[in-house]
Amino acid sequence: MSQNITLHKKKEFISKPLKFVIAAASVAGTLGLWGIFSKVDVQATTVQGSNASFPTLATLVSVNANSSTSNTAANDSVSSLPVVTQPPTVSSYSAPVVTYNQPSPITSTRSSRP
Amino acid sequence: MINTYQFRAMGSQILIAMDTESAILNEAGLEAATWFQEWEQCFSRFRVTSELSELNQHSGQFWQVSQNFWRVLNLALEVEKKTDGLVTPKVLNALEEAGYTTSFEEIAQNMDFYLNHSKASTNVLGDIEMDEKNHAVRLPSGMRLDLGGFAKGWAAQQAMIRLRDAAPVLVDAGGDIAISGPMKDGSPWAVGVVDPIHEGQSLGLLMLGGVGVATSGRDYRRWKNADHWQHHIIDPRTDAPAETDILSATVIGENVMEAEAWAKTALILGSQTASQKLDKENKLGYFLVREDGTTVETPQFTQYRWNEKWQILQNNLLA
Repeated sequence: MSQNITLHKKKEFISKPLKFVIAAASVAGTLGLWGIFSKVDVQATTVQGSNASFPTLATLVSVNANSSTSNTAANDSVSSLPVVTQPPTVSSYSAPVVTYNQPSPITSTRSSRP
Repeated sequence: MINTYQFRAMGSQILIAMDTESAILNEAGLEAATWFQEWEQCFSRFRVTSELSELNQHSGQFWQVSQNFWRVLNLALEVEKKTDGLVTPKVLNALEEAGYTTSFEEIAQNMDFYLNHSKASTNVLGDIEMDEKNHAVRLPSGMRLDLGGFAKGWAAQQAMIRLRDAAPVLVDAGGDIAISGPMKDGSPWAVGVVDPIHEGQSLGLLMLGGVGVATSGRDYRRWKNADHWQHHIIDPRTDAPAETDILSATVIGENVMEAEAWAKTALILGSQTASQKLDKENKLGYFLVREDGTTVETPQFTQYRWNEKWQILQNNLLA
């Protein structure tokens, strides 16, 4: 009795390279590499955010300069910002000083004194 | 940089403030002291040898006077016209009758003697004759002049004019103040107003440039005569110290002589009439302190008071 043995080759639905990729991704995830990568991204965003806020800081500095020193101190980037030269900002900045910065009299007028 | 120089002349403390270095001020101050001595010799009624005393002693005849005396007397007579005769130099007899017979410092030290020896004479009416060609003056017989406050204001103004080319300057002659233009940095001069009621206190701060300011008052040069308080501001209508509700009058004018004349006018008239009279001179700022402590002040005066706008100006000058 002869047996007709047929060898069936096990069918592979996922190729070995793909399996390797998946395994590697799994390990990477486990080790937190994605987290590291994502933190790098967050840091990069923060730096960009800081850069975006610089003009605002420059404006505030220039208001101080305008109220106490010459306007020529303003650079090009500052002078392009119209808010810098608004008089109300200067007034509100100097307002608290008004009452208390009275000069001393050099002399006084009075009825004739010897 | 403000530096000050002080000396005594014309019965008052004289202060010269200049926006310059102290070396220049000292030189200017010494020169100014010499001018004031010369003017005191012209206008003092307390010096027997002064030009004024000599003229008074020679009433009834023409008497030649110096260029300065001629100018001051002419200005004083112009003021007499402008003030309807209220501010006049022809009041010396009445002033002495009221007991003001010597310098006020001496009166204060020897009050009894001077009150008992005060002269009992009255003012003489009439016009003063002026010979322009010879600069000679003839007073009606018995008339005697007092140029006191007016001459002191003129001296302050004259010193200021002579010194202002060297640097911005303020000249204070016993409370009558002549001011050149603003200081070198463009800011005005700060001048206080003395409170006549509360000694040592101030009634505000004025910011002045290119004007004169003067105060006339009966809060200081006063004395008791026959149980009555007397003061040195004579009302020519009565030949006696003015009966007035004003304790002190401060006026800002184009120059210190004008300010002094209007301040005296206000004091003589009293607050109600003074307002009517001085309001006609609408450029004048005045501030009256009444006996009851209330005050009268014009907007023209208020505009010189320290306020926010001066602070802003100062900030702009510093920028």
